[in-house]
Parts: sequence; structure tokens; C-alpha cells
Amino acid sequence: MTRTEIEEKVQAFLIDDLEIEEENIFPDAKLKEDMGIDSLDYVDIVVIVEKNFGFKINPQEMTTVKTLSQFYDYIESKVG
Amino acid sequence: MQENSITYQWTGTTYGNGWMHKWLVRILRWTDVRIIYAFTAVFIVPVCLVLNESRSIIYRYFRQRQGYGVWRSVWHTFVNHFLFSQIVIDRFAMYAGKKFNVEMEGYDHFLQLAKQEPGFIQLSSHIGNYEIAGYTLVAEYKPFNALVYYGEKESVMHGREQMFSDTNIKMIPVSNDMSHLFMIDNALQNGETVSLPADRIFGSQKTISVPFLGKPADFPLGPFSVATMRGLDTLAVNVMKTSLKGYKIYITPLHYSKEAPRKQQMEELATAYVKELERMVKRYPDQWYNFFDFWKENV
Repeated sequence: MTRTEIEEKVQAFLIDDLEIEEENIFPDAKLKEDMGIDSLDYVDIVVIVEKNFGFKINPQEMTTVKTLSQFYDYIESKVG
Repeated sequence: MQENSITYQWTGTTYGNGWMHKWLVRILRWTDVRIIYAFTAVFIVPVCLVLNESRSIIYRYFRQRQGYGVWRSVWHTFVNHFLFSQIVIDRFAMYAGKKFNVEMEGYDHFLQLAKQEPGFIQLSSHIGNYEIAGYTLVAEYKPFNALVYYGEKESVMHGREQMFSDTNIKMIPVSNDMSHLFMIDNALQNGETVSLPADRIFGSQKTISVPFLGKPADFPLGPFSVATMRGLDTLAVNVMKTSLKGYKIYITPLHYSKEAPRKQQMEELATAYVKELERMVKRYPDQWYNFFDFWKENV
């Protein structure tokens, strides 16, 4: 899976499932502060990532992911 | 559905400190609970009513939400606090090995879900004495995970651990680092049962507003989100005190359209949960134990 495909899929579920405004989705956006993702949304993210990318998020690894760009990197490191 | 963000959080710890709890358990080993109830009614409850803001919160609940008159509300505020003290005493009495008579309504629903392969959700509320359910609804077919408040007193956690030591019951403490959410998800993925309180906020501040006793109230979105994310069957489980040594467990399936858009699923599930909560609170008005401004009457 290419980086572009990953970005498109992630952006699609951020908009459709988590109802995040498109204008708040940019690479340097902070997941918590800019996009308003809180602990509850992580449950959705775990399930959605599993369905879309076929791997289970490790909670320990996610603690270092602060921005959207880092989230893309994390997924790429697992499926790229 | 209206999603809000809330700023208050009820910590929900048990009154008293560790040594008081230990002594209470020791005393309860050789004392009838009714003696402790009487002592509490005379010496503890009046002091609590004087010192705690809970008196005005519960008084308003009876006046505005139950529609009681002034003196009836005053009396039931006392009864509510007295019953709450009995609930706490009963919990320690169980740690001390005392038994209670427990009736069940809807046990077939629990059994049916417990025997099937997928996991399911049990939604509880801060009414009656839910802890009894943990000791009564035996997790024979699949492990049972109960979300518990991490800041609870060590003596209470120790008592629970002792009670659960020979069972298939695990406790998931709520923590600030969201690890409890991953534990919940793992348990559900493994086809286990997860019990969540659905009338208080833990972790996420996202809420859903649902009419409850005549006025919209905020409920945490989390439990409904977790259930609908994996399309899980969900039960409401409430345990109400019916006599000095008797309890009744009410198990009610909560229905929602699993094919509907996710937002609608959460709304339907929250509405079904609140409908059942309202049924219980109307039947047992004195056993409402959310001692904070639930309807934001003062806002």
C-alpha cells in the first residue's frame, strides 16, 4: 500500500466515521488539540484501522503518535 | 442526538478511610447488618446530611424530577441517604461473608448472550447496588470484565479482589492513559462480557443528551459507542434493594438497529438505556445515587 493510499483511507474515515471537519485535517494537525480526537475516538480508530489496514494497534506505540503525519508514518511502518 | 462536552466529574469513591473499612468488615463478621443500619441512621446519616451538598442535590431531584412536595422531599432525602448507607454496609457485609437473598428478572437474556460466541455489553447505573450483580451473575461461560474507578479506596478494591479471586471476573480500572479502552476492546474481541457504567463520565468528555425524568440529561457517549462499534448485543443490568436482606436483579435487553448509520445506533441505544433507567428510578425513586447536579439544574 502506498503512502497516498494510506492518507486517502485515513482521511476518509476521519471525515466519515469521526466526523472531523475537512479543514482540520492537515499533516501537522495535532490529533488531540487540532482534530479534537479524544480517548473515546481511539476505540473507533483501533477498530477502523484493523478493518482497513489489517493490523491491530499497539496502545504503547500509539502514545508517541501526536500528529496526523506521525499517524500516517505509523500505519506505513506496519503495512508499507 | 446532541453531543456535548461536560466539565464536571463525580469521583465515586466510598466514604471513610482504609482502617475504618477494615474495622467495619471485622464488626460485620459477628454483627447483624440491621444493628449497623440503625447506628448509621442515628449517628452517620444526619451528620452526612448536614455536612454534604448531596442533601440539596437529592432534595432537588425529588422536588423537580419526581414532583414531590416540600416535606415529602425532605423525608425522602433522608431515606435516600439512609438507603445509600445500607448499600455501602451491604457491600462490606459481603466482604465479611454475609449472604443476601437475590431474586432475578430476565436471567434468560443473560444466559442466552453468555452462551453465544461474540462478546456482549452490560450497562449499569448508579442506582441500587450493582456490585451484587458481580457476585450473582456467575461468569460460567465467558470471562466477565467490570470497569471500575481506579481511585477507589484500597480497602474496597481489596475486598472486591477477594470476592472475585475464585471467579472468572476481572476488573478493568479506569486510567488517564486510555489503556482501559484498549483492554475493553481486547476483551470484546475475545468474545468476553464487559460491564460499563453508562450514567457517569470516564475518560472521554463526549456526551449524548437524552430526555430523562422530564428534562434532557447528559450521558457519556463512550458505552454506547463501544457497543455499536462492534454491533454488540447489550443488556441493562440494575440491582435494586427490595428489603433489609433482599435484592432484585433486573436484566433487560437494549435494542438498536444494527444496520442503521452509526450515529443513529448510538442514539437508539442511549434512548433504550435511559428508558430502562427511568423505569427503575420511577419504581425505586429512593435508590438514585448520582450525588451531583445530574440535570444541571443550577446552570
